[in-house]
Amino acid sequence: MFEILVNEDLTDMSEGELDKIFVAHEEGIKRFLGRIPLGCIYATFLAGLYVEMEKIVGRAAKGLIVNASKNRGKVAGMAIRKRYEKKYGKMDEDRVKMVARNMLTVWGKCFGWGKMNFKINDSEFILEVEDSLESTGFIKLKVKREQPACWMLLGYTWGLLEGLFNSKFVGDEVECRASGGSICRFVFRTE
Amino acid sequence: MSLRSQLEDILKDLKSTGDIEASAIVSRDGLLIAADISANVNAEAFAAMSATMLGAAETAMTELGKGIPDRVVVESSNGKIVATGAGEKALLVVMTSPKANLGLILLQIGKASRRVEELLG
Repeated sequence: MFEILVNEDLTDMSEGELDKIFVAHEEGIKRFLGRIPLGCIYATFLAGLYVEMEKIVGRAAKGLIVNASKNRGKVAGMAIRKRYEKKYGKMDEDRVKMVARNMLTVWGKCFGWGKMNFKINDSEFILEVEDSLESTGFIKLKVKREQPACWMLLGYTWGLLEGLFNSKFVGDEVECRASGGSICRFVFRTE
Repeated sequence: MSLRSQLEDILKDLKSTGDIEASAIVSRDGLLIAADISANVNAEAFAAMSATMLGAAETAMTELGKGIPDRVVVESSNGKIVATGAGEKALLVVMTSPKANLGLILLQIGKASRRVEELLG
């Protein structure tokens, strides 16, 4: 599975094809990469969780979720890069970009976090999500947000890029369906 | 001069007053804007925790009908952390030495937070 993740472009694969590669069903338990148990969460629960956190710590809820997700994304990115380098040697920039797209494609299609599209050039990594899980949750809850609200996807992607590229990025969600946008758009640049 | 440089200048000025060991300007939602912190401190985590501290204090005070707090002060034998609002969008957080004169520090923080507010709104 790791070999496929780091050697093949997965972005055009269907949900079914990706599920067959990355998600195993054993005795009623779904497992990612054959070992990590997967559970589903409904969109309104996730959005509701953010709303409840805001009731406790106010706007700082965003910083908590973004930072924590970023740290975990970074752990994932670093682990992939290190495992690749141990086996194949240094990961070149094009491969890093492909692996980042692949990981996010798996999140989108296997984990249900939305249909993801990528626009990548030398200075920017842009992620566009047509139906992000987090924004859908707020829309279904009928909670209009003043600011973009896909905090976990922002943090995870940000950390994943830092871990894979082994460098610092600045990132933001610049458009979000939960705050009236037509799409959720994330922009990341090297610092 | 860029906005970030101007904000970093405010933090440098604060440090030059003595007794302030580290400081940061943080968005109200807990993301780091600028920091003058030693490299072995995770500035982003410090930012998130500071905003959370002030946010939780605001909720607690509001629930008790005591209004919005001006600041949160955390004291330990090794130093103090002071987090205060700096306008609608930001917070100013400083870490002081244990023997710092709190009154003097609050005066400096007040001046600095007004400068931050002028820049960020």
